[in-house]
Amino acid sequence: MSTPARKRLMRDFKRLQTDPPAGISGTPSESNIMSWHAVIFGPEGTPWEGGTFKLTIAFSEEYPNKAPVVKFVTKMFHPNVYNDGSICLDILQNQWSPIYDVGAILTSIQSLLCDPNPNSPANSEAAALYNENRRAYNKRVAAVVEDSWMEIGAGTGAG
Amino acid sequence: MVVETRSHGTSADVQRVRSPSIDVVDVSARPSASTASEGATSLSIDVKTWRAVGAWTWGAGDAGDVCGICRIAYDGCPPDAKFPGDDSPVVWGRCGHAFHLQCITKWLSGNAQDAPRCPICRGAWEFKELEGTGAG
Ligand SMILES: [Zn+2]
Ligand SMILES: [Zn+2]
Repeated sequence: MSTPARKRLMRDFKRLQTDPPAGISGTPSESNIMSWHAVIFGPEGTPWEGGTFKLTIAFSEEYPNKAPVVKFVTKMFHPNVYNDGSICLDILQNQWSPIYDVGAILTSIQSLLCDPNPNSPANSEAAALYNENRRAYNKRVAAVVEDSWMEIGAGTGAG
Repeated sequence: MVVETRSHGTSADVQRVRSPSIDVVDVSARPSASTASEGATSLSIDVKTWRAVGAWTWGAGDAGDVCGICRIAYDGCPPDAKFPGDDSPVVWGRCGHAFHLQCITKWLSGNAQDAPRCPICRGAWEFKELEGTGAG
């Protein structure tokens, strides 16, 4: 059945294809448009460069009036990403607006990679390293980046 | 940036060598705006930045524009309406942002815990009196 949420997601998908933002990609799963797979590429010139970070996005029928649930599948090391991959980002919580679409969500998560918000740490170790020992932090990030390649090789090829 | 004379390099090569930061900008997170990519700076993300995301696509509500919530044309049929036109009027907030009546009503009703806010500018939402401006 074509609900408002599904119609909106079709439009989101179309827009992602016709006007793809740099460094991200997202596709609904074949069987269910409410469940998406996405990849964020680490921005060049940053410690995240070269990384391919996989995510899942789960939409409810209340989309776009409610934010989707976005999670990293790739193991991350980031002040605002929980151990289970959940993301602490204001626009996914209380700053959500119904004008956001999949592209906007993914681009803002990509921005968050290099610009963590130290005020809402989800990973206290990452937050502490980020604040106090940037070199060590960058090393951990580099390890995450390397691991993200192995995952791609080992995982399913399906986007 | 200075133009270099190089017998072997293309201008793209020169640019990459001379100002690597531009590369960063190009691939860094930014909305899929149709504006020049060089205008977007770096990786900062906060709510203020995102106001602009809405702004470039959904401006003042000219004919042919789309409603920012459902992404369907203002004069089209929003997802909950049966027919375009009278059944799906466009309403304006005092801030000047326009949405289908159904779309903004749904958004406002789903956020009762908070003061009603415009999805685009996040200002307090108040319906603008229609002074013969009509719906489209
Ligand atoms: Zn609408
Ligand atoms: Zn507004």
